[in-house]
Amino acid sequence: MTRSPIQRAPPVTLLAAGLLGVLLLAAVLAPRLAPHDPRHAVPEDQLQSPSAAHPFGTDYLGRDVFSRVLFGGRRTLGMALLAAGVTLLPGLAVGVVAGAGKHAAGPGPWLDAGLMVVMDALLAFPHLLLALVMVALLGSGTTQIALAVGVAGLPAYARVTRAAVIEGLARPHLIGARAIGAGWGGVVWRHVLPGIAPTLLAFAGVTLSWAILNSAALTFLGYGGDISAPDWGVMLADGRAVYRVAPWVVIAPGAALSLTVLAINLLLNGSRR
Amino acid sequence: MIAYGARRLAIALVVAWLALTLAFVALRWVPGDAVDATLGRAGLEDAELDARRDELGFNDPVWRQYLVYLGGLVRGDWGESLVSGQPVRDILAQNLGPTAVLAISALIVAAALGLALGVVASLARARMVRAGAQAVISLALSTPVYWTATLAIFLFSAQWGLLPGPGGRGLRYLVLPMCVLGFHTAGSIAQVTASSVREAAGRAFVRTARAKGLPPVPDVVEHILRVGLLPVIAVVALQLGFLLSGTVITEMIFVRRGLGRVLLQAVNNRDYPVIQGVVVLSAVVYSLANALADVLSALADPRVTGGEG
Amino acid sequence: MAERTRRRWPVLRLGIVGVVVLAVVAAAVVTAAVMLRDDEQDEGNKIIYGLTLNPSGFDPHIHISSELGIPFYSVYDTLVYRQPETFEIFPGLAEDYEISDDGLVYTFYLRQDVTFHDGEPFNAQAVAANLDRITDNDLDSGKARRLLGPYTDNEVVDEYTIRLRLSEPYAPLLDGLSQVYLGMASPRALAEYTKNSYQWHQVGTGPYMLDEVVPGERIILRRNPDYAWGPLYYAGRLPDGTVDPVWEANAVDTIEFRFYTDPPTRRDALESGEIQIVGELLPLDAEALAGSASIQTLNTRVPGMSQLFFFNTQREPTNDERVRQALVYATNRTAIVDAVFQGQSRVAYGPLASNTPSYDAALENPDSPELSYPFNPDYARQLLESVGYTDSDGDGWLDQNGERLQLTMVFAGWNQLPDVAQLIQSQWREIGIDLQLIQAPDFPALSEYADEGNFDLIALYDFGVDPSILNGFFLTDGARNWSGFSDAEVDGWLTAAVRESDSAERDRLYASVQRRIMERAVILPIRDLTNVHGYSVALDGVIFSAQGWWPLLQNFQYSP
Repeated sequence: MTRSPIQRAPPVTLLAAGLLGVLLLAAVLAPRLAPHDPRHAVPEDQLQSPSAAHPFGTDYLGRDVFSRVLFGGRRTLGMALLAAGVTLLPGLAVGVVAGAGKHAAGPGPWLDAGLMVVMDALLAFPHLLLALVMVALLGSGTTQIALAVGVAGLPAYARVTRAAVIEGLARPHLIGARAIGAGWGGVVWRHVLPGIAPTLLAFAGVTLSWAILNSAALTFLGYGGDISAPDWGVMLADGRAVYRVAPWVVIAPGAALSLTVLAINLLLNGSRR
Repeated sequence: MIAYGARRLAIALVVAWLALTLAFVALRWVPGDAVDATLGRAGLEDAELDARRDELGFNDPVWRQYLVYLGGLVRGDWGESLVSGQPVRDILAQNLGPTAVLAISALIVAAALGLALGVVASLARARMVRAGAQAVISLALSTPVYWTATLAIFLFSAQWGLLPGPGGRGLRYLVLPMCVLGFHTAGSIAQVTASSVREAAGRAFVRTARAKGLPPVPDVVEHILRVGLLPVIAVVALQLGFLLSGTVITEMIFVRRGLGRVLLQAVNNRDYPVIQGVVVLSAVVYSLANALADVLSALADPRVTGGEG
Repeated sequence: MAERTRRRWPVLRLGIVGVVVLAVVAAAVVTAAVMLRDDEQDEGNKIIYGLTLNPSGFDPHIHISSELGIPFYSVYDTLVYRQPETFEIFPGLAEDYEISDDGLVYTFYLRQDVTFHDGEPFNAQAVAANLDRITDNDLDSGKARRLLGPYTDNEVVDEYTIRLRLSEPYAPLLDGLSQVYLGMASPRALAEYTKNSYQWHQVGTGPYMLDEVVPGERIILRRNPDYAWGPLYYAGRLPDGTVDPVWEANAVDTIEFRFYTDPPTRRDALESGEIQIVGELLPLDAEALAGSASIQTLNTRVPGMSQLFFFNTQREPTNDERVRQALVYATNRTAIVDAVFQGQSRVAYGPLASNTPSYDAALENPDSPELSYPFNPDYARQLLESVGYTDSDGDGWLDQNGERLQLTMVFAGWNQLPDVAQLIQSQWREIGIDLQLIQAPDFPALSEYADEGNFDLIALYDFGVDPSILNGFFLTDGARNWSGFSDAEVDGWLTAAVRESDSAERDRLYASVQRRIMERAVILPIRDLTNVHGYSVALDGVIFSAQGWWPLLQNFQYSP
């Protein structure tokens, strides 16, 4: 009578997973799916309402909004995934080293204290503010934004990982393993990480949704470099000039952005239950 | 309790000090220094640039610059804007008020709305109502501020004429930005409230009370107060960071004066002393607010002081 | 997760927390209320004016922004004025002037009835103090010093007579003296404040007095009740010199300037009545407001350079004249003006806007395509092919020796340039040119690209009534010769033109310059610059100075 996790999942979660899949697929396949070149401007066709030829209408320069949303997802999600990577890998490393070091012999506790001091100092800056300062230092561009957003998310992820590792290490059977003399690295790798993987995975999801919203915020503010590259944040910024006569110009990228984050959040909610 | 408060405050100050040190180091790493970045662009000659560097102390060893900088901070000398020549302290003083007003009023909206949404999403009898509240929470968490703000101006100001448009001073102008920013902040608060209340409602004594046929309402209210307040305090302090970030975009779209717009302009101009001032100030405020929240939580529930995790 | 024990909370603790939270909330509300209380002092007949840029500085002697003139053109008077429609030179603070036969000495006879807002008398010493300040190298004057040209020094002849000496004849001097950058400031105020702080405490002789500045938020001007020395076309005085009661009834007593740097907010603010006037409306918004019952629009043409891109003539591939010509032919300027500007301005054919004196209309002649460059993508492709650019690998992009024809265009966010650039990118894509776009965040960043020559095309232009605006950009050793253009004949014409006082001869010289610039395709002109204002129908007498940017606030009439 055991049911697979998929069968047990509530319909909302399944829906969210499906939605996210579709959105990711659309981004990956944008070059194949897009009916038009996203930069091809046809001034005579400016601000056309949605039609068969242009399912989401056209923008101020007569470019196809549907194609731009598809390509925009590619750029926005690519940037966010890169940012999440920048957060996760060092965040995980710092968190594991610090967490394992806390009660270890030798320089462990010092390492823990040192790392956490830097993380706390970073954590003292509000998220987007830290990213903005990084942009001021690094300059505009997608890679710069990904780095900035990634670093801004780093301290929180390191903190969560560290707490999880400490809690994992405190389990009775591990205390036993350590007493037998098993190596720290082995214990953490074989016993602790598998146990806390769900927590880390869930927080990775949170990190990704922050990364999406914050990278789009930075491109919205105009730090994305090439302005002609389709991008959800840039499209929302451009659309503000024309949304009264052509609401589709902001509705399409806004909905794409919100749906993506919503799908991730719903998946996370589902996995928590 | 007082000892705990003092300790927490000390930690906050150390963190703030670390943060400003980090800001100092990062902004000294800039390829080419600040003089190069701003004055060099104005077409000044090399000799003039060097003289200006001397004047600003950029030719000193880093440790001395750092000491001078720390000393300046303590004395209230936060440097000068490289663009306008205005003292950074004055710029911050002029813009802190409007940002604080926006952030605090948004926080009040967020706390009220967040608690209400959280309670409804967890306790409402009708399934549809719970789902509806949950949907609003999800919306608040997944839509970006710049998108809702645009929509809000369009609907409430341009379309229906209920509230004034962007720009301007006075309470009427605060309503829209406060609600937009508050709405997004309410999302996290509602989420935390909902899960705490669900947890509380599932506890044994409530079930017992129900089994005895007693009206569960007073118990539930008590629990909302008890379990609701604590996480809300913690979440509210965390949300201050979100709020400070949110003010940047809100101030831009609603054409409000404040630190957010100052920061944006400083980032565009690479006006490093101003960037540093804004960032250090928000780091100090944010750490102190977190400390205050911890102390308040401890007051509400002494177990919090028990140990550090 | 540790099992939680259920325990009664001490009421006291709960109470403390409640009280603290309430206190914080109450304090916040009180602070908010106090801070936001509208200070309802009597401001008389008041309007709010939306500025579109927050310049890095407001001191006209130092800073170069045209935006600063919007408030400060009315705080200062200038020695001479230019009539807004005819561009004629009018007496201002100087009742009269004489130019020596060799053109090296200008003698100004000053008005004797003028006082500064702080009560200081206006006289020859005051003018000398201003000139000395502007020419002081420590001031780092961005524009004012340049407008004085070859000025060397001055001589106070008597209390109300001053001589300006030049090292060589300089015809545009009076034009410079008519601009806000050479406005006359109170010597006492200049001495009282530092170079940096004077901009927040400016004192002039003009029809409006600076009352309050909150940087980044507002600038407040109040009417100068004693003002009686404006140029003839300033409203407010009857022929006998007394105050015009009809004008005074609706004169604007207080003007508050606020910043609307984000273009989409301007229409919102105007329509909801937050502001009574704002410039640089988005073309689509201007179109929508033109049909409104409560808002009217005014399209002001700005003389000076057209909205254009400079080619970099110093690096490949734009160092080749044929490449530059091909690029101009490949640009459909009519489509840009129609789509981006909704047809609200004129296509430009040369370095000067068509309403600038000495503009050469021959540039527009369709029979001389070497000047007017009608849109012709086929010819553009042929030209590029003649240089060696073909699509040899069939990927849709032109290339030469395996290298793709790739160009970099640099511009800032104003004047709809991002839209213009993206449209050009798409137009050039059609014939296989790969155009990369870089948007600079502000003016200093833009000048940095220009100075370093780090571009193939850059959008940088200046405005002004006198065509000598071209000199700095096209002289071989011009301070702003970003294109790196060098032509001995052009140098000769430009140098002769600023020394020449005969206007027909100047027209001839500048016509030669304009033709040569287009023949050699040094620039890609787009359109004449216009500034579309929107303002409340309750506002009357809205008029702008000859320079196009600056309102004559004295003539504004507001009857809400």
